[in-house]
Amino acid sequence: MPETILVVDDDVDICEIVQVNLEGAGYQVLRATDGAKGLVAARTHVPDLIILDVLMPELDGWEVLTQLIRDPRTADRPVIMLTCRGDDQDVLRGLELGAVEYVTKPFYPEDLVASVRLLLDVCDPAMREARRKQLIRGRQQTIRNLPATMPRGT
Amino acid sequence: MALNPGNIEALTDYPVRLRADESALLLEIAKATSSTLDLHEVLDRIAEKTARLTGADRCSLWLLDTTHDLLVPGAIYGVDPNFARQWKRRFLTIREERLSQEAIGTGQPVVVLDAASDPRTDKSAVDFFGDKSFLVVPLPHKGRVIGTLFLNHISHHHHYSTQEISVVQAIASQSAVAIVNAQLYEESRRQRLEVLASFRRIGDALAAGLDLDETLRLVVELAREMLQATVGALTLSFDDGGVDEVQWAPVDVAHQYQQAVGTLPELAAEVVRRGEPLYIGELREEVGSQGGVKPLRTYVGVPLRLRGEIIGTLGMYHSLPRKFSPNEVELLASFGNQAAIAIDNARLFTRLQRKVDELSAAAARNADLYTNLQVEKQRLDVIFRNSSDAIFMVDREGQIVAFNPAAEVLTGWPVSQAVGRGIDDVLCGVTNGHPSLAEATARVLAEGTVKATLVEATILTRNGSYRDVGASYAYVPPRNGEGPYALAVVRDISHQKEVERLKSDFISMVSHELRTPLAVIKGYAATLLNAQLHLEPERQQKFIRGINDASDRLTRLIDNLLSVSRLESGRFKVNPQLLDLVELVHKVIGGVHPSVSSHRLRYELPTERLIVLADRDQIEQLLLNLVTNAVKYSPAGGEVVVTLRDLDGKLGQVSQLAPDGEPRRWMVVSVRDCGIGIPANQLPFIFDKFYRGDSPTVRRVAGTGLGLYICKSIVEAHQGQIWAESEPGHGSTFFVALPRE
Repeated sequence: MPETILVVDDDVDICEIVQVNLEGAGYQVLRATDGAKGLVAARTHVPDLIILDVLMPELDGWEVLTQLIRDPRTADRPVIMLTCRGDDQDVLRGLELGAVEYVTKPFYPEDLVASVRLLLDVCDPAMREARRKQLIRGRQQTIRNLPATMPRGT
Repeated sequence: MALNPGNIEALTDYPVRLRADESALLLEIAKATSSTLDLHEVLDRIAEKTARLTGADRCSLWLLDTTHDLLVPGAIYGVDPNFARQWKRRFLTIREERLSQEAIGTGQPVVVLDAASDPRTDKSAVDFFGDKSFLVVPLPHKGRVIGTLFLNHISHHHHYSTQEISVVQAIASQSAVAIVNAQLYEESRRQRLEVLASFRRIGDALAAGLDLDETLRLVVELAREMLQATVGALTLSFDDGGVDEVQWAPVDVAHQYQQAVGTLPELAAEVVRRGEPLYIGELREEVGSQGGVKPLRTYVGVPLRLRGEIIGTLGMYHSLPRKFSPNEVELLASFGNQAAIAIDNARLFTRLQRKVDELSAAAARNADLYTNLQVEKQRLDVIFRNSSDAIFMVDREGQIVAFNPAAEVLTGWPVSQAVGRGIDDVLCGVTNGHPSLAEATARVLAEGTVKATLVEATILTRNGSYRDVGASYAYVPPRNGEGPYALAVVRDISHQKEVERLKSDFISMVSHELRTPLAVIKGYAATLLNAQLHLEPERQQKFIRGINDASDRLTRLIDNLLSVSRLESGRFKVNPQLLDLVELVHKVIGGVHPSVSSHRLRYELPTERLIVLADRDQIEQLLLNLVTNAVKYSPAGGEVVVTLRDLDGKLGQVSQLAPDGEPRRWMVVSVRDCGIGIPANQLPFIFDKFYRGDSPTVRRVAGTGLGLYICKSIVEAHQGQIWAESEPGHGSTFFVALPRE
């Protein structure tokens, strides 16, 4: 029985790309084109992994992620954020809300497939959690190293 | 020398007198001259008596001026009184008057028997007077010759006997004494008058309050005139040891003046040392004798005494040796003491004057300073009151002591209420990690640094709104018992902050908008390149179309950005061309359609062509923006309807008249969606740059906030109109009206 992956993105082209590549790697793929539909699909099908966009109509990705983590049915499902929002603050927000991977668009489909494979085949929940903490620390480090305010004139 | 026999009668006319002894004759002269001391009277009497006693036709007296080698006419007897007056004006040089020259030179009488033939006589005078014989005798006095006595005979050639000559010589001697006495008397009288005059002038100088330089000059000048000196000099020793030298001399004796300067310090020092007059009758010859100028030979210097102290010296030089008499020295000494008082007064007066000058100058400076301060204060006041930056001052207790109108505008606190209140009340801040204004002013006061520092902060105004401010602080040191204060100049930078925020938002939004189609292109392309996927041809075709559509989205975005850039820089130009609007709408919908399979696109177009004069690229961009907007904000499966109508009737807000007053014909394009709609209060702003609705749905939909702004700009550039009608929850309709040709 292949593992099931839910892709939530309002951009049908992105859904198509993710689906084709994951199916090629042997996964079964479900698609949802907005946040509300995505949350319903996640609760209904309880996929093994969820790939989530941020900017979507109805419910945005942050809200969907929060609900997924809060819901005992989906709380242990690894979530990969796949979004255009690539600020350090956004990345940190996603990881702190509970996502275990953060991929910014544009992306390499093979890398996304590799991440999915790592999270599903290699890591157990404890390792995923350790990995998430590590990513958070790394990102916090980056943020701290930036000057708090840019000097005037730059 | 024998007496002329032809003169016997004459002799017999005065037998007693001629035979009388010398003492009797001299007694006559003495009697004649002793009754007066007036020099001219003495001379006149001598001439008269001598002529009468000797029987000469004419008698004259010449006085010798040794200084100028002149013969000065003294008196004449035996001529018309009018002629006598003229005669007295005629000065002769010794060389001209050879008889006198000889008599003076030899000290002996000179006898001329035949005036007409004698080479020594002045022939014109001889002819004029008809002179026959002369007797010239010198007037001797103490080894010197002071003049000559002439006896002239016109009536006959007179032979002077030895006795006669010795009698005349005795008369001459006696006369010389009388003349010198009269001269001395005259001289002393003149001196007395001059001294009186000099002293009076010094007195005048005292009363006039002359300044020191003038007084010194006057003293030297008066003394020099009084003594008939060649050069006068004055030295002063002041309390502080400084020595002032004042010399005065007439210009034509400049060389002697130079010499006086050379010898003065030494001589003056000697006078001061002695404390009494110094007389040197024979100054060394070599001093100042260059250039053919007569050297100075005599010096007399007197100390200037004031209240027992010597304050300087007054010295006189003369180019003749042994010139000044003891009398004159005495005179100079007493004059010097008078002068000392005048000098002292002048010094005091000058000092007083200087002090007064200094004081009035100081007063003037103070007045200037005060005026400047007033002007400066006014300027500062103008700056304080009219500055667009808020300015206020805080004391150590954190109380506001000054608050300008701009501060009132910024904070909402009236000046009258702000002053005296704590800074925490009036400018309570949101720190944002920066020190608040209260903290910053307290720190400035604690550190006491005058250097201004700039910090940003956010403050809460009285009406509860927040303002971003940039504040610079300065320390105002205590002065006259006031202060210290912290001065703060606060500028409202909310607008700049807003602009910065918009710019930052815009950049992040644009990067997002670029990433979305780019992610699609990248994803499809990478997928197509993945050989392991073995995609069937239809799918490959679909992916390539996806890449194509995403590229179009990128192109539209970049076009919009470029349009904004052109609008911002004023390079937005319309290139009108004739185009068929029906065909253009077809093309736009056809282009959008494949990528919006989730929506239903419908259009209602006229069957015939509608030609307008417009910029094709811009109209295409306009339509594309409206249609993609409608799709974006409509739920999946929703319907978007595009209509195009040729309108010459009335329509809503469209003006029916052209600017020239003709009725207008309009092409109206409308795009209707069934999306979320636009609340009525947001409708007026939807065409503003960067404006995006603030509903949660809008925020979740990507967008630059530029599309409608560009649409409005394009329509206005075509003299058209754009507006929207909306019913929230049911959809919106955008209308574009373009004028027809």
